[in-house]
Amino acid sequence: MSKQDPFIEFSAPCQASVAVPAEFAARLPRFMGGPEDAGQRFASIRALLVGSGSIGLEIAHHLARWQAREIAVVDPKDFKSESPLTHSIPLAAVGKSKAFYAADMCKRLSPRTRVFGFKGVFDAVPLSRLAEFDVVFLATDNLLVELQVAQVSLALGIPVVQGSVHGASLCGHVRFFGHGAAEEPCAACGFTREEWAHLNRSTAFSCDGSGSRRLDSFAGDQRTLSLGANCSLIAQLVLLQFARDRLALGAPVRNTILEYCAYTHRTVLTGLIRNPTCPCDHVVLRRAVAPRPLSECTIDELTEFGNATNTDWSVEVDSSLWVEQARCNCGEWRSVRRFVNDAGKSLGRCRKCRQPLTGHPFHSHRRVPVTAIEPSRNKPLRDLGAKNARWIIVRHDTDAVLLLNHNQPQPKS
Amino acid sequence: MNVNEPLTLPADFDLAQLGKISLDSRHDGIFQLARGRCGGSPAWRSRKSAEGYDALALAQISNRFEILFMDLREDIRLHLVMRVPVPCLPDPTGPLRIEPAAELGLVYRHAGVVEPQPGYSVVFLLNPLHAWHPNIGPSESGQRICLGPTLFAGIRLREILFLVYRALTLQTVQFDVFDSAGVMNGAAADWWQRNTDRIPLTTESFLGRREAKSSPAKGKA
Repeated sequence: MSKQDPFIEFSAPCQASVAVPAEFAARLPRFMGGPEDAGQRFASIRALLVGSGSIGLEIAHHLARWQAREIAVVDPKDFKSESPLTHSIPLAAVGKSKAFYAADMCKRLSPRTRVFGFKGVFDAVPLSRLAEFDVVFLATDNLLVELQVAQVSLALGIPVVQGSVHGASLCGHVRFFGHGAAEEPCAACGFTREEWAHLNRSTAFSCDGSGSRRLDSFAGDQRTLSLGANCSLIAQLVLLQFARDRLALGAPVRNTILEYCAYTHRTVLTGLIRNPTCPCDHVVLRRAVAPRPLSECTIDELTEFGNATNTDWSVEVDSSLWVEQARCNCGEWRSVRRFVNDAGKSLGRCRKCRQPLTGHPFHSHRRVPVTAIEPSRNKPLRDLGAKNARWIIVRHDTDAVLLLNHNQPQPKS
Repeated sequence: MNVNEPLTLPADFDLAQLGKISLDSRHDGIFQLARGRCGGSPAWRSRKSAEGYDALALAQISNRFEILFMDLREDIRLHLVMRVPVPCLPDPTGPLRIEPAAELGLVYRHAGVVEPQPGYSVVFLLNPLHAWHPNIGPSESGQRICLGPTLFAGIRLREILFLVYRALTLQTVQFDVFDSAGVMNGAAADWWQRNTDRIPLTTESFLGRREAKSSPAKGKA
C-alpha cells in the first residue's frame, strides 16, 4: 500500500514566518561564544518528535516555547489512567491520543509554528516527508522504533537526539547521533546481544498479510518506571544538548552520550563510535532535485545522478513495487513489468478464465535491479505506473542518491 | 536429482561447515553466475554470497532440493524444487492429494538482516496450486508459507530452508484458528485438526536417507 502523508496539521495552515518573534528574542541571552542569530536558528527548527510520553512531551513543550518553525509528533498510543503520575498532563487528558495532545499543546504555545500530529507508527511516515525535518527527537523505549529511526535518519543525514531513563538507578542518558557521514555511529551500533534478542522476542506479526506488527506485552505496553522528575530532567538535557549543537556552543556534542545519575549528581560524557559489525546499512543518501517532476523523468535520466556506469545499481521508487509477473488462481502467468502501489491490486483479468490477476510476490521488487527494468529505462515513470512518485533512491555500491520533486527540500549544503 | 543414492556425511558434520564444501560444476556454475551480478553495499554483497554458497552446498549434499535459479542482484531470490510431500485439495469435494515435490520461490530481503520479518513474507509455494495446509495462504496472495509469527533478524537462509521442509511435511504445524500467528487457511486448519492421524506427512528428516517416495500410507485420502 502506498504511504500517504499521515500527519494532521493543527489549526489552519499559516504562512510560517522565519522571522524571530520579538518577545522571544527579548528573552534570549547573548550566549557566550554563541552566534548573533541564535533566535533565528531556534525559529528555523523543523523537528520530528518520535514518542510523546514522559520525556517526549517535555521536549515538545520547550520546542514550542522556542518558537520552532515546525513540530511534528508521532505516537501510536493514548494516555492511560496512570499517565498523569509521570507525564505533565492533567487528568482530563487520560484517554486522549498522546500525539494529538502534544501537537495541540504546541500549537497553543506557539501559534506561529506549523504543528502536525500523527497517531500511528514511525514506519508509516513516507521518506519524502521525513526528508523535510532537520532533527529527530527520539523518546521511545521501543527497540524496533529506535532501529527504524536510526536507519532512516542516518540515510537522510538527519541528526537524532535520544533521551532515555533508568528509573531504579535515577539515571538518564542523552545520545546525540550526528549522522553526518557513513562512518558515524547509529543507534543500532550500540545494541547489545541481549537487545537484539529482545528485539526479536518482542516483535511478532499479524497474519492478515498487512505486515502489521504486534508487540508482546512486556515490550509494547511497557510502562514508565521512573520518577517524573527524572524524565523531565533528561528531556531538558536533551534540549540543552541540541541547543548547544544548534548554536555551536562549546565543544561539539555530536556522537556523544551524556549520562546523568541523580544519586551522585555526576555526569559522564562519552564519545560514540561506529560499530564495524553493525548490520545496518551505513549509507548517507546524497540529495538531488529532479529536473522535472519525477513522474516525467525516465530511469535513464535519474540514474545519471547516481554516476552509475555499470549494471549493478538499483532503484527504489517511493513505496511502490516493480511487478514483473502476475498470476491467476488457475495458475496462468502474465507479464506486467510496471510499478504498482498496492500489492493486492487487480492487474487485469486472466485470458483463460477471466479471473482477476494479482502481482506475484516472488516476481515483485521493492529495490529494483537495473537489469530487471532494462527495456523500460527510457520511458517516463508515469508510463511505468509511478505517476505519483514523490521520491526515488538510486543505489550503487556504497553510493546512493535520493531524488525528490521540486516541492521537496533542497539538497543540504 | 538422484534420490536413490544413500546420503553420506562425516559424523562430525554440522551446518557451519557448508561454506567449506566444494561445489560441483553445476552448482558452482549457478553460484558464479549469481555472484557476478551481485549488487548492494559491500556488507550485503558479502552476506548474499555466503548465503547463496551455503544454499547451493546444502542442495548438493542433501539432494533434498534443487536450485533452479539464484538471483543476488538486490534481494536473495531462489527458485527451487524441494522433494517434500505437499498436501493439496484441487477439488473441494474430492479427496486429499499428496504431491511429491514443491516448486518454491524464496525472497530474502536486505531488511531481514536487521529487522525481524513476518513469517509469511519469505517463501511462496509456486506449484502445486490448491495447497491444503493451515500455514499456506491463498493463491491470490502467492501461496505464502507461514514459518511462524516472526523470523528473527539475521536468520540464515539455510535455517529458512529447514523451516520450509518442516512446515510442508507438517512436522511443525500451527492450526489453532484462535491464535492468529501462523494460520493462513482457516478451513484447512479445521480439517487438519480433525485429521491429526495423518500428521506428519513424513517423518523423514531433511538430511535423512533418501527415499524415492514419501510415505504413501499417509498420502492416501
